[in-house]
Amino acid sequence: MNITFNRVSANYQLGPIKQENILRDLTAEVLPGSFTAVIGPTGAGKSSLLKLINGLLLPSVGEVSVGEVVFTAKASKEALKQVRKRVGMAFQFPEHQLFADTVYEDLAFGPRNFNMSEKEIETTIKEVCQLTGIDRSLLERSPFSLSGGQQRRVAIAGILATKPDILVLDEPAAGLDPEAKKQILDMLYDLHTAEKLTTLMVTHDMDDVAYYADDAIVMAEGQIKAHQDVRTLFANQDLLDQYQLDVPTALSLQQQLEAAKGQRLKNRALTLTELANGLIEEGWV
Amino acid sequence: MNRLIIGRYFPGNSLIHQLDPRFKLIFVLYFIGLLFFLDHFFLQVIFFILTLVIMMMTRVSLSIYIRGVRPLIWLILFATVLRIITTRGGVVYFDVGFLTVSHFGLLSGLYTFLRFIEMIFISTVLTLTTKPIDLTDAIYFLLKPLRYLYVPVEELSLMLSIALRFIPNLLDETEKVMNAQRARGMVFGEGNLLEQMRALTPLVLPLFAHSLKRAEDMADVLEVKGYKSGEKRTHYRALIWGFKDTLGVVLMLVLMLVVISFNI
Repeated sequence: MNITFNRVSANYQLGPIKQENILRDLTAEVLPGSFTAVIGPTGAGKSSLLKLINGLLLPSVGEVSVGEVVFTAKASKEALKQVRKRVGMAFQFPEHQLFADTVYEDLAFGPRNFNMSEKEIETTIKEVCQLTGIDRSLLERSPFSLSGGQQRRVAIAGILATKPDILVLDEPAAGLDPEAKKQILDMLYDLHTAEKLTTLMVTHDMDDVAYYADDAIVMAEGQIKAHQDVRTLFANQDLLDQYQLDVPTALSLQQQLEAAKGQRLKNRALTLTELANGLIEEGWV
Repeated sequence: MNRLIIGRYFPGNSLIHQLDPRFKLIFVLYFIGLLFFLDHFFLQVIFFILTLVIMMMTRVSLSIYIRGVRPLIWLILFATVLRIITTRGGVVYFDVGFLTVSHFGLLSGLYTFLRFIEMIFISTVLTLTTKPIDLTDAIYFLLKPLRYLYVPVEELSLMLSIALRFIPNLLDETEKVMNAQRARGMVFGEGNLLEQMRALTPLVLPLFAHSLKRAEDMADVLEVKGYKSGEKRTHYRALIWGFKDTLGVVLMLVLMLVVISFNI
């Protein structure tokens, strides 16, 4: 489903003093089926951009359209409900939203809000558990008795249970150990490809961008500074320097090798596999 | 969540900001106490003007104060109306059964209204211009004598300062959890009272669970850092009583004299 921002500005109230227009004049189009990374320094407005997509933050100027629903400064309750059903949104540390007596009840919370029948809910939960690797035996346990990694899974499963077409993820793997992080991101990526979802993900890890994303939105000071495909982005060293963005591990290694050897490789590698292939091709190893 | 003004600190460097928190705390309690002895119209005017002057001296815009009153406005209006219709005396304008609108009633209704407003304004002055942590220190200082009655004043003040410290976090978290549940299709503030109360579970429970967890962590950290209860402590932030504060005390005495002279 298409997501477009058309000259959007939004006030995001922080504290009793209103900060004016924290998001300024955003124009962007996210194509259906794409995996878009949202990157930039802290306080750039990345999370606020995500909130615009499901109407948790409404534009003060301009319009946001998600599929055929259009948000302006005023949005009807119907439009909000419609969009929130289609957009699954995982905030930072989504396990903080768990509340129900049992994992099952928590997973059923979203679907019930969107008026799915109990029968539908049961089948959906079965599917979602399989997808996210939640053991059926956990369904009757209290979510608070689970480990951190499991809680994160349950929380994400609770978001997937509403069967969204668009996934909006705010650092879904923050604070997890490397193993759990890879599992969660791989799972989300597989789901993204299998269900042809449109996914936006805020991340600070450039390796995530290199491995999973098709394109990236670079934000700074409440504005979209660039929106380009990942390869173009990492080829543009000036842009990366300007917004203090790191490069993926593979590229960083490549740069160190190039500096040591005084020669350059033909292509910029984004993943370790690419780097290995490049090194073999050029006969460096 | 941002409507809540009481308890928020506004950084600044006005005269009021510079006063000793102990003085400010005592003054506010004293001022609120005096408000109950204003039986004369002239006194009401003086105190109202005084409140406004103090508010202006903080250099915080008036709209912030008004926002502080807003959540309580229905309560205030209720008390005012109750006062008006139940008080008799002077010229009666309107009289049906037990409902009476009289000259005297209107006047005491006005007094009630002003008293409420001034109470909120003056306590907002205190919290807007005093860092919560300074306020805790002031409370600690004033409670100190209770130590002789074996009241654990040290622990109470630590608890208070920790509690105050986490209010902003709690507010931020509330907003986050609210947004997360909204994203899952929850609609807040809809339906009848019972439904609305039920709708609070998905909001309150995560907050509660998280706060408990944090409290445990906090207790561990205190212990790791060697905190022991019942020890004698020195203070990192010292409160300094200045000349301005003494002047303030003089003002308090003058106010008392004025109120007494009108009440005789």
